[in-house]
Amino acid sequence: MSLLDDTHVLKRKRGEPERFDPVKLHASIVAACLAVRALDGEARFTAEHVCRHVIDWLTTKSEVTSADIRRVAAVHLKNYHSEAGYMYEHHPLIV
Amino acid sequence: MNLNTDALEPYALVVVAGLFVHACFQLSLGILTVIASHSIGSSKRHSTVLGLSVSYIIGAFISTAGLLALATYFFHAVFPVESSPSAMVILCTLVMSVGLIVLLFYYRRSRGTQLWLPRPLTEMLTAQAKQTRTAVDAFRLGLVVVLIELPFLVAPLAIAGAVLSTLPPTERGIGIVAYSAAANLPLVIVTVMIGGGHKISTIQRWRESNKHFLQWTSGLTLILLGIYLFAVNIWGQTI
Repeated sequence: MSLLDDTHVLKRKRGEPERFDPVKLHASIVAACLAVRALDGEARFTAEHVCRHVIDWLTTKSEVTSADIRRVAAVHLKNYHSEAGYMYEHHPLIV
Repeated sequence: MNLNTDALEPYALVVVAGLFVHACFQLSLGILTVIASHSIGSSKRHSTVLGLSVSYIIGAFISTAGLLALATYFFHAVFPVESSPSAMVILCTLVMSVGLIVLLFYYRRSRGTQLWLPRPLTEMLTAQAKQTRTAVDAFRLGLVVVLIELPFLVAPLAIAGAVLSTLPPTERGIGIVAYSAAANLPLVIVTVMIGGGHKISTIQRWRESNKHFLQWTSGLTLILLGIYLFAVNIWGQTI
């Protein structure tokens, strides 16, 4: 059993904790990269690296909010792809 | 040759209301950005992304034209401003009040381009935009988004409707098309940019860095148009 199995993400809207899903995070980072016209391979490579950083950060936490994960992922994503990082961070702020 | 400026004045007012007020409101553009971002992000074909954007624009255009036609009918048959100074005073007060409200409340005091809308409504709209798969969905969303922004759109629509109600029927039709085209011009520009391969992040950065400019343009234009209409139709008649 990995350390991540104990990590729960607290969803702000529903307020109910749900288990952290790295696949979901990976898919959202790939989508952010593709949205700024990154190539498919580049998007997946970037997403894998960002997910690793987020997982490293998560291992020290037992409960985080989805906003925390978004913020940490955006910080690391900006290092790999600044435009994708900007879109990932600003996506909830568009409307 | 002398140019008859009196004949051009109604069209100028309609186009100014469409271009410098309606077109500066950002809800339609924000939703288009979300649709395009999600479509490109989920690896949809370029033609599909453009198809969704064009359907959305058609929806917004039809909704705008329909609302302006209603406003024109209202000012022609129900509430004629041409013959009633009190109706003109009410119109000018509405326009200037909405201009002031735009200056004060249009954007939330936060990062990004978040608008005045209640958060549950924004989340519902964003969810709809993310789930947009077909041209019909995009068209429907284009129709609805214009209706949702009606609390602010009522001012430019009222100016354009009041002006067009004084024109002959054919010219009313031309005015409605001109207003709707001017009001939806930013959507067309963004779609052309997306079609040309520009990044969504570039468009969003531009929107964010110019949001106060657009807010002041629309708010001040409304206030100035209200003062202008009041000066020409009320002060001008009494002096």
